[in-house]
Amino acid sequence: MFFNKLENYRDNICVIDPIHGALSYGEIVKKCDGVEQRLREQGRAKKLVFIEAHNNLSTIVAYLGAMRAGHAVHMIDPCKKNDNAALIGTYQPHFIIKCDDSNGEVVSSNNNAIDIVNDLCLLLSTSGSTGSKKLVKISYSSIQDNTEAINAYLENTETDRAITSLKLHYSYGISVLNTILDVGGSIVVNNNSAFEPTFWESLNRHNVTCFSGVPHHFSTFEKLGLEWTNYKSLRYVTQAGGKLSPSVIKKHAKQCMRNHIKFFVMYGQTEASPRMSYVPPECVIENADCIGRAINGGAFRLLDEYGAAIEGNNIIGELAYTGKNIMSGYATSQADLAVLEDIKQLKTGDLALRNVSGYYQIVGRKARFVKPLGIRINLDDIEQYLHGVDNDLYVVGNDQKILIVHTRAAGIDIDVKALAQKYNLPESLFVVKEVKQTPLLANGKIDYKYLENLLVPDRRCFTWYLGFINSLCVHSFFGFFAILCGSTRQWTSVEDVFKENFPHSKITKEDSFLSLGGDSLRYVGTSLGLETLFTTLPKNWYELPISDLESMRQAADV
Amino acid sequence: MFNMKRSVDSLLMVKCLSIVLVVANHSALSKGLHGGLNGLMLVSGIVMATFAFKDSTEHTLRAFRNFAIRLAIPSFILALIWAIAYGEYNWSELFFFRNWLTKARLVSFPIWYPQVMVQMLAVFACLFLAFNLTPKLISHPKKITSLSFFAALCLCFTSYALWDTTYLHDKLPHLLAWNFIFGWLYWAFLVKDERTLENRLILTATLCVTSYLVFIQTGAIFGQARFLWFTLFGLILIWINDIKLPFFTAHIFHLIGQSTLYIFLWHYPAFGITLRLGRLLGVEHLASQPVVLLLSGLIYPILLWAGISALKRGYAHTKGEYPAQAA
Repeated sequence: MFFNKLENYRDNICVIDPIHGALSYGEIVKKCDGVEQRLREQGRAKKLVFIEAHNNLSTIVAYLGAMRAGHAVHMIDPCKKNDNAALIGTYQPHFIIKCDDSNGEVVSSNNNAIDIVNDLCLLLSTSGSTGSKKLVKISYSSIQDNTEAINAYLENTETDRAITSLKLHYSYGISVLNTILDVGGSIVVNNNSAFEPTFWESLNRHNVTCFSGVPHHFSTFEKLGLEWTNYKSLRYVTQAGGKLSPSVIKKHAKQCMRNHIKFFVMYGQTEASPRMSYVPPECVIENADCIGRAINGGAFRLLDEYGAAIEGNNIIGELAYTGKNIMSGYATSQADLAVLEDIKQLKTGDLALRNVSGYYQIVGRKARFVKPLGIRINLDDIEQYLHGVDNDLYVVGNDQKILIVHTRAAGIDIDVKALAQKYNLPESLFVVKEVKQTPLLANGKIDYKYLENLLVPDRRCFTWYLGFINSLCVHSFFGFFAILCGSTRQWTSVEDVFKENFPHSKITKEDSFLSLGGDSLRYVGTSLGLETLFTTLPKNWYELPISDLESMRQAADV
Repeated sequence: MFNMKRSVDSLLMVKCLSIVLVVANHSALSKGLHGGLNGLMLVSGIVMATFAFKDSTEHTLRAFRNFAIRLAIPSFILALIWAIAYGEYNWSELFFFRNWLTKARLVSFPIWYPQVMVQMLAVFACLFLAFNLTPKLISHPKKITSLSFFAALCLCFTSYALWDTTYLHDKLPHLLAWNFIFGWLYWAFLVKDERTLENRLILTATLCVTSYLVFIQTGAIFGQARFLWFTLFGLILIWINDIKLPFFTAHIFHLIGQSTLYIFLWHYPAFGITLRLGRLLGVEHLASQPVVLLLSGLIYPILLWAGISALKRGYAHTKGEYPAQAA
């Protein structure tokens, strides 16, 4: 395991910290020994350790110390006090280490007997389960296997130096640390955001060779006009953590290529410890919309609706992954820590296709995830939450509406306001509807397809037509005068503006005015529509994807 | 609301002034009002370069195709309606090449403009495809646009020297391509590059000299008016970025800017409606006044555009908000 071979690189620089300067592996091992000793005060049995993860030296030391002592570790986000309290209440860890200063401090300990399986190494939160009690169980072999596979394609060596551009409680952030330590490289500890000049000064000052970022980083860099040429020491840049617009990928990849920096696009899920695939830098430009090929030791398969493997190219199916790095199941309570499941295949929930080059491309999400207003919502989570009210209650939805279906003729008491608040969504997004009986499939499972159809209006209905035309006339009548008087429509999103100006195009968040084939005839309408949403419309707005414009608008609103 | 100031950028301003000039000219407001469509061609050149010269030649070709379709389809439909209404099917007009045969037209809008545009875009598309021009334009914008502009000018001068096209009112793509390509030159110097004094001076000199040589020296039809207006529009574009106007004035610019295509297609029928209304109401003299015709040529199409836009918005709004019914 990477944390057990730190001594092999005793004289190499391991961590560069703003307070302590450069610390060798030997010095880090000594600090880890102190943590190990403190954690062994309650005996040598395997313990559960929660670490409040900051991007600082004490977090790294606490993490490595706990791992070297053979304990199971979970890194918690210090900003989520309430969620952490619930999580701590559920799992009652033996130790909680607070790392907000230079010395990690054990703030809480208990000696409860918890049955923890020996192979359990890490517990990770997923972006989908953040704030819930659900944690991903990762074994030692999974983490080590993934670490080595990542190092194989990144070609990391002991001369490489990373920087903490991501939070260490995030699976991508911790994997950067793991990989660099595995090869005896070093990491610059930095608590500044990558949007601050001090971050880049630090990167240059310490000759950092690797930068890791998520889509938000790269789309913002583009707006800020970041030039990779200014960072001569960089050997490679990695992007993961979500889909980045192909146009932005191409721009960064081209710029990196010109500066002899490798630009890796990667894909993964926490459930895969976390990396599953990457696009080789030399192929990124031609495959900017792809997630690439599986990492060493892993393999992808596409599954049709019956779970059978799809052999042909360019056929959409659910992306499934096999490899040693797959998690060992989820934990939702202390009792779940006693066992590790042997999961052979990870169904990602993403819909994908394989192109002729053998690269995989994500084309959508499986139905149970929707993204109203850009917020990723798991309909199962809402359903689970509502089962507190009534078990015979189902949730379906799309990016515009979330429909709660029940079978109670007398009505049901659902606090939509509370629900909306919980998921940070407007109340108007939720619709409650009654059906006579629960629709079931032949196999006894809920017929969600039927429920989804309830979201679609029945256009055959005469009264619906009448109402629609009435509503259309009223809106058009007032709209006519509003247009003439210059009273601008209250657009709610950038996408709305594009939908109106490109009524015949299927618009996605990655589209821009240019990619939709915008021309002089649509220019004025679109720019005026956008002007109502922005104080100052970005000069190159026509080049920017809708998602970027939307995040810029939201940032400006904040 | 009316105390607020809004900015109008020079491109929108020139677009509006050009279409107003077209309507003013057709309403016989005064002599010397030719050149509005030359201004629109210049604006189209700039916008086309800004939006089409990206990524790859395929992107450019797609942009050419989309623009041609957006202009040609309504023009074709109106031409067809006119043909059906008059029972006279002129295939050269319906298929966009009548400008090479005669200056006459059946339809009630200056169909030569979409004809010239479609022909020009078709030739450009072939050239872009043959020489894979977009990457070259992106890497050497000034050099390639200057060469293109020079080639367009040569073509224009050669044509004037060899062939008197007055009988066609000079409404031919090779005589007008330089207007469009001057828009590319503007893009290379002032959009792709910084709006420096040097760049502005270079463009000003190029504009004044070429405009004078083509419109005045060759004895082009309506040369003086076209020289005057084209140069003025070019100078506005080069020297003004945007202008802050009172809300109401800016709003008029915005309305005209958004309904330019409607005004272009419908101003003649608007004249007809005004004259007919004048006759019906017994104010024929008033209705035939050029100022009244000019206003009606702008107002009716704007109302038509606003009505259609309101209907589209209303439909989108109703579709999104109207409560779903169970199947």
